[in-house]
Order: sequence, then C-alpha cells, then structure tokens
Amino acid sequence: MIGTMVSSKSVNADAVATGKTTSQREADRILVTRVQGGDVAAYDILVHRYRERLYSVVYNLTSNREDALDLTQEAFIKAFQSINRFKGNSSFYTWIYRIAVNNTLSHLKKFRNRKFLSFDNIDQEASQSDIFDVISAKNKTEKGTLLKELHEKLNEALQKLSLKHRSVVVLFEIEGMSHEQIADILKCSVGTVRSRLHYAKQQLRVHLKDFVD
Amino acid sequence: MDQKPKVEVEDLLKLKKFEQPDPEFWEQFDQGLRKKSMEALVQEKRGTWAALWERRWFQQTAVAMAFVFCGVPTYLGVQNLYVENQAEKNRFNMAQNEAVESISSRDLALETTRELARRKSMVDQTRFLVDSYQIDPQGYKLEGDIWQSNSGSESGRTYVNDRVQILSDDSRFLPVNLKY
Repeated sequence: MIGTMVSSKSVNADAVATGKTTSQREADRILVTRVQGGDVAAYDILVHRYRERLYSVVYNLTSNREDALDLTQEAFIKAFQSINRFKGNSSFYTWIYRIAVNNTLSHLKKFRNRKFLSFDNIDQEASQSDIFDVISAKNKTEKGTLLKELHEKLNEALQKLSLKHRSVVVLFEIEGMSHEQIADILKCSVGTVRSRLHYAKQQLRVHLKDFVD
Repeated sequence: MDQKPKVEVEDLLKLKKFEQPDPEFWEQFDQGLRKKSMEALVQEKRGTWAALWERRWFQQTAVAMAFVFCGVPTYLGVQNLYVENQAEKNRFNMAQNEAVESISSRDLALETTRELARRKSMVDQTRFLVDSYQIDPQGYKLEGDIWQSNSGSESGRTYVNDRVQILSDDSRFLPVNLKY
C-alpha cells in the first residue's frame, strides 16, 4: 500500500500530462480520486509535487531540519491514511497543508520547552540578491559573515513569535499564500489572519531592528 | 539626499526562501518516507489495539483502568480480610481482657453464654468472671463466690452474688444456663 508511495519510477505519465493540461487543482483532484480507488502510484505524484513546499512550511515553523523531515513525512502518511475522508471541498493543496501545519503545531506544543535549532544551508545566491546588497552596504561586516548572522537572527526571530503568529508569517510572507488560503488552513477568519500578521511583523521589526530601517 | 532603499521585515523574510536542504536530502526523505509507510502499513495490519497499545497515553489509561477494575476490588478484599482479621484479633483481645473483667448482667443472656463459650474456645485455659447472675447449674461444677438457695421456689438453685469463676477446663460449661 503506502510502502510503494515513493517509488517515483512507477508514476504514471498520464497523470502528469493531465496536470499540465488542466488546472493544478483539477489535476490534484484526479490524482486523489485515483488514490481513493487504490492507485498508490498516484499518491507518489502528489508526494513529489508537494514535498518541497510542505517541507519548507514545516521547516520554517520549526527551524529544525531533522524535525521538519520527520514531520513532513508524517504529514504525507497521515494524509494517505485519511485520503478516503477527503471530499474535495477544499483543494488537496489546502488539505495537505492543513494536515502538515496542524501536525507541526501539535508537535511544537508538545515539545514547547525543547528549543533546538538546526538550519538548512542558506544558498550563497542569497548574497547576490538586491536586498542583501542593501543590507551589506549598511554593515561593515564581510558578506559571508553577515549572511550567516542574518540567517541565524532571522530564524531566532521567527522562533520568538507565538505559534499562531509564526504560522501566519510563514504561510503569507515565505510561502506566499493568500489571506483566504491561510484562513482556510488555520480555520480562522481572514480578519484574524490580517491582525495576526500585523502583530507578528511588529514583533519581527523589534527582534530584527539591527537589519531593518 | 540619501535615497537608499529601506529594508523591511518582508524583505528579510524573502531571504528565507534561500534556505534549502542539500540535494541528497530528498533521497533521504524518500527512503525515510518509504520506511515509515511500511511501518504504518504493518501497524495497520496489526490492528488498532496493537497500534494503540504502543501509545503512551493508551498504556497509562489501560493501567489506570486495570487498577480500577482489578486493583480496587483486590484492595478492598484485602482490606476486608484485614478488617476481619483485625476484628478477630480484637475479639480475641476482648476475650482476653474480659477474662479478667466482669461482664455486666444485662449482657448475659443465653446468646451471651454462647459468646462466652466461643471466647473460651479462643482463649484456652482462661477464666471468665461473671457478675451477679442466677445460675442453674443442674449439677455442673461451678467454683467461686456462689451460694445455693434452700428456700421457696428458688430452692436448690445456685446463685452468684458477686462473681463466679467458670473454669475453662470445665467441659460442662457449655450447657450452663444463665438467667437474669
């Protein structure tokens, strides 16, 4: 059953083709229907389609790469186990994000006192970005050192936010989701999302005052 | 005038997108997912109870329930036994104590006589002291402060004015009829 879900070699090409010709949501719906009908290979496509994005959310919520790895895998397994309960009221994308975010938030609540950060490498391409040029122009520090410092401060600042504020910032600012999508994932109103976002940014400005104007 | 662009929190957060796992990470991810999926499958086949049993909260609940359904009755049983033993011990002590104490006349009905017999069986070779009772020994051996009436309807009866000692080794103790 799920044992073969990651055997990407067995992925059917027609599903990929379908995804190209229809909207992403429709393609996902077709794949989900196939999984519900017992086609495990279809789930592999969904895993490969969303693993990076899901991992990114979980990683940015935890700032711990090992936890993020485990929690993303768990989210995929949980989603597979309850795929028959997915009715298609929301997109598969929103549904699996909700599973991953809730699973991560439960984990973070459970291990509230355990704060161990382990970061992914920051791509050196970041030092070529316009914004980094602006920051480095204001600092006398060498670029590599500055990038490392910023990388750490950014993660620490995120971890200082409460879970509900952190989730909104991660989903909106990093993942680029809309307020409506976030409200759907977090099961709250759009107004709540906006106000949490506003407050979270205020907090981040305080924590990152050395880097912002 | 300085026209340097301002750095906002939003700009800094965009740098988070540059944090990426190593390329070999996804290989590790796929392997781990495959392994965990197999474990989940095995667990599914083992059934809900077995899977539940591996959860800490379930174990704790099960232990608590086992304690409630088995431990409490056992505890109560033991407690009861203890109480009974304690009561028995108390009765034994009472019997021993009463062996040297007098018994009030109101208590000494026929039942009380049986009770005395029972106590006698518990505390062998002990003397019981009985206060002021009219005793019809019918020839049974009584020792102590006794006297016999030889007048009227009460003639021939044995009375105890003060205390009488019924010897524990007196096998004829049991049929002794004590009256008010």
